[in-house]
Amino acid sequence: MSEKQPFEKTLSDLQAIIEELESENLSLDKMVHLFEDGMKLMKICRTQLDEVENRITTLVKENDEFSEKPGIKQS
Amino acid sequence: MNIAGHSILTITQVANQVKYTLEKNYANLWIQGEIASCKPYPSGHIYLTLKDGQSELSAVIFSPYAKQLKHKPVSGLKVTVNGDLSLYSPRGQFQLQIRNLYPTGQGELWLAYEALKEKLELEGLFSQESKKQIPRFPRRIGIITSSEGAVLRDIIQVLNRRAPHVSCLIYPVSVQGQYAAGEISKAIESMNQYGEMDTLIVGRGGGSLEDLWCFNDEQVVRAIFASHIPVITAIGHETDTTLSDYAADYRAPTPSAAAEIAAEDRQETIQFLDNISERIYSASKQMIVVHNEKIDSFHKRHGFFKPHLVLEQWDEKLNDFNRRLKQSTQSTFISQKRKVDSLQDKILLLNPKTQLKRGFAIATDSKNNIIFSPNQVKVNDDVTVQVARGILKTKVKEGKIQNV
Repeated sequence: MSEKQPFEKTLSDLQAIIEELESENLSLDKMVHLFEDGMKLMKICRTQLDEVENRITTLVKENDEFSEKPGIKQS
Repeated sequence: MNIAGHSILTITQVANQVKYTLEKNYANLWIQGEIASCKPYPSGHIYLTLKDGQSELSAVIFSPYAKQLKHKPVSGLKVTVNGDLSLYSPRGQFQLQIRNLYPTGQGELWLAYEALKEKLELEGLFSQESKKQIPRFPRRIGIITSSEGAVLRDIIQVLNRRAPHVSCLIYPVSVQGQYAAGEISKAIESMNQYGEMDTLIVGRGGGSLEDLWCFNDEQVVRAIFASHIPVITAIGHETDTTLSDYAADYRAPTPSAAAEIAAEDRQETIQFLDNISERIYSASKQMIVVHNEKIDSFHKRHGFFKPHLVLEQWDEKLNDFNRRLKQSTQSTFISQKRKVDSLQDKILLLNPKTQLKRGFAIATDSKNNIIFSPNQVKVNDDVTVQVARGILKTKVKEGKIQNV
């Protein structure tokens, strides 16, 4: 569970947690763990969505090295 | 039928044989000519006559093919057509069944297109199995298109509206002209090399057949197929399907549609998260309710009361013991007391003084010995006689032994 993992993976982890939470025969202990994990993942997802940056960069290759320049650059 | 060594055929037999020969030997032809006449029928078939300086050829485009035509056949148009020769038996007329029709000049392009398509298809470049899933929640989208023009603007606009959290990395390329194919394929490779992208959009606005042709370039098609990053194409109008579109993981009809497919709407995602959140809460709450109920039911269970009951029982027992102890001691005491009383009575009876009270007397000699027999004393001996209320000092007058 890292902040680096793709949003999709985080979502599928969340899905798995829900399914386990909604399953029968869950111990209270496990439930508390799942709940905490779920809330953590939820926070990660929301944080990602809140990062409103919509960065637009252009990939530029100079001397065989890639670099990103802000905005739209002409080729 | 056989007459004088000659086999005689019916018309239908001849027609069938000719038809067979034509279809066998004149299949998949590419023919150039001019459309002399052209008649679409309500059935959807189109009947035409093709000609060159010396000859004419009847032709038909059956409705399934007619519907797919990219260019409308009109009289006077010089065309290159692709199809099979066959015989229309009811009129004994051979005709070309056209599958593809291109204005001349483009025909050669399409011939190459069809050949390349077939080759790449055989290689599996267009197979559904090798299509990669387009991520619904990308963080970063690579866009390969012209830095000018509406395509880039449309894509960025849609992404801005739907998914402002997604960033875009642009790789500007020419999308037409002799260098386009090289640039596009290199862009795809570079984007893969650079990495850090969840999805690639390769796009171009509508244009003429020649304008779009770079997307039918083998190099470009192969680069799209080889891309590790899922590729969405949005090339030309919906009716123009390039080989790049076939090789792409997803083909979008327009650049805006490509952007919509590339990223899930932020608001919808938030809603989705809210829903998940709600489910986590309610599932956990439910779990707590269930456990609480369990605890409650334990409380009501007999087992929980047992210690109390046992204590009560013991208490009762102790009380009982206590009572019994009291009772038994009391009764022992009473019976003992009774015994003592009766003993006392007996003792009282035995007390010489009691006997004295009843009128008996005790005689003792001078040495204070009790006199039981006259033998113990002689006449004139002093004898003390004790009676109930005192003593008498006497002297023996006479002794006489009596057998009692």
